[in-house]
Order: sequence, then structure tokens, then C-alpha cells
Amino acid sequence: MITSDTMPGVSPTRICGMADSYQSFQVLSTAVKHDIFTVLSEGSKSAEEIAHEVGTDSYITKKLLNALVSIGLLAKGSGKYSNTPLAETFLVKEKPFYQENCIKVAKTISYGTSLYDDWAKIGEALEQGPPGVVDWGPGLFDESFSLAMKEGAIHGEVQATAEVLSNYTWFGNAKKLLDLGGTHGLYAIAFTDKNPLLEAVLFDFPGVPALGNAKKHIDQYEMNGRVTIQEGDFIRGDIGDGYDIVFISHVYLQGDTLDAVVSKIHDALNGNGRFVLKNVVIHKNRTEPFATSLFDLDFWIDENVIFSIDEYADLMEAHGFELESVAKIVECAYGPSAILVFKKEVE
Amino acid sequence: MSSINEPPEISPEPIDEMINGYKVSHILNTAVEKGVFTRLSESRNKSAEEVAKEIGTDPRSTEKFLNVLVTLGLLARSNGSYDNTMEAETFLVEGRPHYMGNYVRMTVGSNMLLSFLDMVLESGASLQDHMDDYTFDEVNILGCAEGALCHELPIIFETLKDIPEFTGAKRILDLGGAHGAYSMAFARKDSVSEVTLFDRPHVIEFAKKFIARYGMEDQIQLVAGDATVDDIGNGYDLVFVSHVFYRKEGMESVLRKIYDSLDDGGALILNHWVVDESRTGPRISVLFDLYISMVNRDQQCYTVNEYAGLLREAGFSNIRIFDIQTPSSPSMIVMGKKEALNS
Repeated sequence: MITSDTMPGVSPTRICGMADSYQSFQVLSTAVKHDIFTVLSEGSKSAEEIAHEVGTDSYITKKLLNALVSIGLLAKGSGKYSNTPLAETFLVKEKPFYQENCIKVAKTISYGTSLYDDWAKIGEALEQGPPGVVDWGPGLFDESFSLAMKEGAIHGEVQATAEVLSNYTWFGNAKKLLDLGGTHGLYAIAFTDKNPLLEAVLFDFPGVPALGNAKKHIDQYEMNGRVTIQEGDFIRGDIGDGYDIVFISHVYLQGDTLDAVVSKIHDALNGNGRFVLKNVVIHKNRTEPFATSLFDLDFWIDENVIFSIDEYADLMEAHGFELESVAKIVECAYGPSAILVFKKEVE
Repeated sequence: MSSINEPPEISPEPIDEMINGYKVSHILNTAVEKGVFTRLSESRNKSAEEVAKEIGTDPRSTEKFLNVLVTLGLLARSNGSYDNTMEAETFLVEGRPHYMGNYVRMTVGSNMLLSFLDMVLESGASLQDHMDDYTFDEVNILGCAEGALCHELPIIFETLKDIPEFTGAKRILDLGGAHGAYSMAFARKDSVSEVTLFDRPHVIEFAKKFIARYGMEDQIQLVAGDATVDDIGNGYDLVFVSHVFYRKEGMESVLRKIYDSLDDGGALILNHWVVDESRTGPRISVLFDLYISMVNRDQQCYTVNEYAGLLREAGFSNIRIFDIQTPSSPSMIVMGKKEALNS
């Protein structure tokens, strides 16, 4: 019935907001692709100057710039545009917290394991189901993915993690750390920066540290000699031993693969050594929190690879690890994560 | 070299939110297109497996998908089965008076336009040259109708309830009225004797069907034509135009035509999304301005003062502005009166 007084009992605002929430990202990703924020890092400019520098159509560029103001990435004054602190910090090339690759891979479902390239095709993906067996290993990685991991880590998560660990007494006493599946090496570097006695080994599949620019990072933070790179297959091969700490971050395994890796980690640790696992965790009912349920869906495979804290505790206990401490951190691009410290019980 | 252990001074959270926003829109749209909420309304409390079977999707992925809808507050889960929340039941179940599924599909459908932003920026091309009449398929017309019914029509009628030109009008023209939701609301007013809905021929066909749903086909006169060239009639007390004037060319002549079609003392009421004077807000208007410009450079979003200026130039006086902006629908009403010449 059409009348003038049939306002719905609840507000449609939230649903409308969900429907239009793709728009900001479309505008952001296009602007990053055309280096608009990098050009503006030099100082404020008019629409015509920007269009000229980045080689775009000036009429649509001006509309785009206004849209970037409306979503808080640019400011406009006296006809000129400038970066907001948010854009200047995260969207300018060569700046330490630049998020180019994170933004580039964000449209993609399932971090390269899927046949479906764009989240806009989520309906098609749901019909088809998972693409089949995932080859855990180097096939998962490409350059953008590896660099996105680095960008996701550096913008707060690395620092928060190192801060948490530095408060544990055993961390200060540790001499040798294994950063397993560490791609870019930033965790190994941050930990050795916090603990002057520590030496760290970054271990990943052959070719992956190069994709993640690990060598460059070791040079950049002057950790040559204290952080070394080792390449190998940590699922099927040997990972070495004599470690006080084995650290893994955002490595998502399940079933036999998980068992094989955890058992290797156990063997690699000294008595009273710590296995530190930092992953996104989900509530037991699997419907909280939002970012994690999205991440769970994003893992386009048949089995669960996202666990709750208590599920992790049970999984690790079977391998002789006792859960010693838990710290939640929110500085994570993929959703709230937990730093779980497991102690290797002395036999 | 700064230490690796120095975090950024500001949080990247707004950027992460934009990234997630892209996914949220497509998840909502997919749930609507697959009829998840409509199925759950037919028989409550279904398992993920049952839902998957009904909508033809993979059961494991569907469970994860439904869990995301739970975290978005659109579904509730208990004992492994899913049910609509009040919001979903009100707005996302087909056939309900406030169904907004087509509005969602229309809104997310514009993602397709923004996907061409790279191309348009580089080439300066107009998308209209590359696509058939995108704007007016059935999803879009129904989407506009749902947008009107859920958040504009009731607000407009409430806002103008003490305006004599609005409440006293007998003969009303709903120009570019598309779905006819406003025409029907006018026709239901006791004071109104005649409502004419004028729109392009293929749009009028949609309007016929939509109006027939409410059994009001006898109360509204449907006229097919192009307002820029065809006669729009005369003797009106009120001409109402909602979300039509987003063009640059030809505005003066159409407004003059409207002025001439009104009786002395009659009024024109415009309802449109508007941009601020700086043209950098509100977000919904600015983004709308961007993508309609990509489609055709003759299209744009106006400021409220520009509309007021155009009305004055066309001869209207006693210009009044009513702010009815909400975050999801940044509309303003601009109203002008045709004064009797010798009053």
C-alpha cells in the first residue's frame, strides 16, 4: 500500500550503507594505481596540474579528486588538493607504510588460491565451491601477495607483536629464533631489534624471501649477520634445531599438514623453548568478529584453517605444547589476532 | 633510518574499512540476488546445508557466507541454524512493503560503472558510447521506487504537509516520475483531482506494471514523451520532479516549459541529491556525480543554490529550500512559485 505515512519500523540506513560501501574502495584503488597521492606528497596542486602529471583526463580527474576529499583521503583549499595525514602515511610510494600491494590484492578472493579473481564474483564462487586441493607451498605466492604481507605487517602489527614479546622474560633470555614462513623477514628483524642478544633465521620456501624483499629489509634495518635467510620446504623437509623460539605469523594450516609442521617445530626447539603462534582467531561459534568471518570465507578451501584460541590449545597439546600465555592484538589487517605462546614441556 | 619498531602515528583502520567495504557490498548483493533472506522468511531456522540446497550453492562455502551475514547483523544463528534479523526481514524479503532488494542491486550495480574509472581517466571516453540504456532497466526503476518508498517519500510528504501549494494542489504533474510511487501517493490525497505521470515511452511501460500492482491504474494518467521536445500539458497546480534533473544542457528550456504549464499560483517542487558548494561532499552525492559524469559528461549533480538560480531564471519566485538529507540519501527539496501576474 502506498501512503505517505508508511515509514518502516527500523531504519534502512545500515543496509544502504552496506550497499554503497564498495564505492570508496573503487575510488581509492584507482587513485593509488595512478599515483595521485605520490604526486601530491610534493605539495598541494590543482586538478589540472595533477591530471597533467599523472596523464589523465582533467575533467574526470577533478571529479575523482572531489570524491577523494569526500572519503577523507584528500583536503581541498583555494582550488588546490593536498593529502590528508591518512593518505600521506599509507598511500605515498617509497614511504615506509605504503599499502600499494595490500590495495592491489584486496579485490581478489582467497589470496591467490582461487579461480575467482574479484569479490564481485562471490556469487559465482559460491555456486562452484572451492577450487579443489590447495597446494600448500610456493604456488600460493606471487610478488604482489608477498609484498602485501609485508605491507600488512609493517603498518602496526610487527611493532605490536615485538612489544608484546619483549615483555616476556624468556624472550629477553633467548639467543636463537626461527621465523618460520616469514616471507619478508620483518618479524625476525623487529625481534632482533628488541633483543640485542638474539639471532634469527628466516625460513621460507625457495624464492619466497626474494618475492618478499627479505634481503632488502635486512640491509635496510642493518641486521646483516644477525638475521639470516634459509630456504626449504617446511612442510615436507627439515627445518633444523637448537632454537629457543619458533615464531609463525599468519600461516594457516590444517589436518595432517598442521600436525607435520607442529611436530617439526617441537623437535626444532630446545627444552623450555617457546613456540609463538600469531594468527587471526575466531570465536568458537564462528560468527564473531566480522573481519575474521570475512577472512574465513576468503579462505576458499574445504577445511577450516581459522581456529579459536581453545581449538589451538587442544591442537598443540597433542604435540606436547602447553599454552602459556595469550595476547590479543588488533593491529592486524586481516582481523583481530592472538599471540599464543606455547611452552615445550621438558620430557 | 627509523627503527622498525616505530609504528605509524595514525591508524590505517579507515583504509582497511574501505577494503572490507568492497567485499561487504558484494556479499550483501549476492545474498539478495540469491534470495537468501526471502528463503529464510518462508520457513524460519534453516541450516547452512538447507539454505545451500535451496539457492544452489556449495554447502561448506555457504556456511562461511552465512556466518559473514551474521556478523553484519543481517542473520542470527543459534544451534547451527540461521534466521533473519528484523532489518533483513523488513528490507530484504521479496514482497514485503519495504523490500529494498532492487535498491541494493541497483546501488551495487554501479560498481560496474566505477570499474571503468581507470579506462575513463586514461581515455576521457564517455561510457554511454559503450553501453545500451543502462539507467533504466527494471532493476533500476524498481530500485528507485524502493529508495523513494523507504526513505524519501514519507519524509517529503511530512516536510511539506503545511505548505499550501503542496497540500492544496488539485492537478499534479509527476514529471519523469518513472515508477509512479509519487504519483500514487498524490492520487491518494483527497484534495487531488488529477495526477499525470509523464516519462519516456519505455519507462511508462514499467510504470504501468508497477502501478497495477497497487490497483491504481484508473487514478493516474500516463503520458509517454520526451519533456525536452514534447508537450507536457498545462493547467497544473503542482509539478513535481524527483531525481530527474542531473543534466547540464536544456535545463533552462525545460524549466521554462514547466513554468508555462503551471496555472498562476502553482508551484514546482524539485527533489534531488545535491553536492555542497565545494563539490566535495556529501560522499554519496560526490560519488554519484563522479559516475554519472563517467557515463555522460552532460550529466552532473547540482548544488542547491544552482537549482534555486535556475528556478529564478525560469521566472519562479518565492524560492524555498527544505533540507531532507540523510547519510544514504543526500536530497534537498527546492521549491518555486509561479506568481499571478497582476496580483
